[in-house]
Amino acid sequence: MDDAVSEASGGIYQAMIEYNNAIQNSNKFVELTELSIKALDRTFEFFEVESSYEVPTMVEKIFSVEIFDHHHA
Amino acid sequence: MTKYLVVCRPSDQAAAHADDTAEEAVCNIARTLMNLPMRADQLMAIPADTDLATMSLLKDDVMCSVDVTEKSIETWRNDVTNIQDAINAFQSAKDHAENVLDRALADLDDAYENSTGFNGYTPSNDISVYGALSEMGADDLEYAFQRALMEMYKFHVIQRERF
Repeated sequence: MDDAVSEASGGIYQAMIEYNNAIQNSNKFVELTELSIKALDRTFEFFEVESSYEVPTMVEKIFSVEIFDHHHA
Repeated sequence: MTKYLVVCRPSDQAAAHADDTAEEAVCNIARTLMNLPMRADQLMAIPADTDLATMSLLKDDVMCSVDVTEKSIETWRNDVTNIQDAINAFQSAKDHAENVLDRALADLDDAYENSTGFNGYTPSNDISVYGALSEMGADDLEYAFQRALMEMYKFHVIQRERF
């Protein structure tokens, strides 16, 4: 999934930047909404986090892992 | 501002509009905004204040009207092509991204399914490739751009059914 995200994001980031540049360089269409790089970041972060989220949870369950919080002074 | 009516080029009008004329630009604008499955040189732009335009309206031949100025034609030639190309490139990149992610998600489902400890979980139940990419607002690009063009060129469809 990480590899897929890398491959997918490369092309789409480039295309997004080119679209935003075309809007900014135009005289009459600057009011069109630019695509948000931040929204794209969030989208791909979602794939990375969600696709691996279940593994540590299940591992904790299988091995009855207990996590202790240590607060050092 | 000059208003043009656009009709299908009659068979007795063999010569298309010359390149770089307002009429040629108007035919391109009409073809694009009407999504017509024909070449722009198969259309003819007629200034709206002429007898031919009145005749075409009476004969119900007019497909649409388009208003242009020198400036708006310049915009068409300089900016519109660039933005349309960028939208097309973005849509292609998005389609490719969806395919790649969809395949990876299917592989991930298989990996979970074939495991001994994790086979109760199906990632694709929680992750929607198409929903996530749509949330970026990318689906509206084409529509928003078409709306902006229709407004700029005061584009009106007069007769669509026959074309």
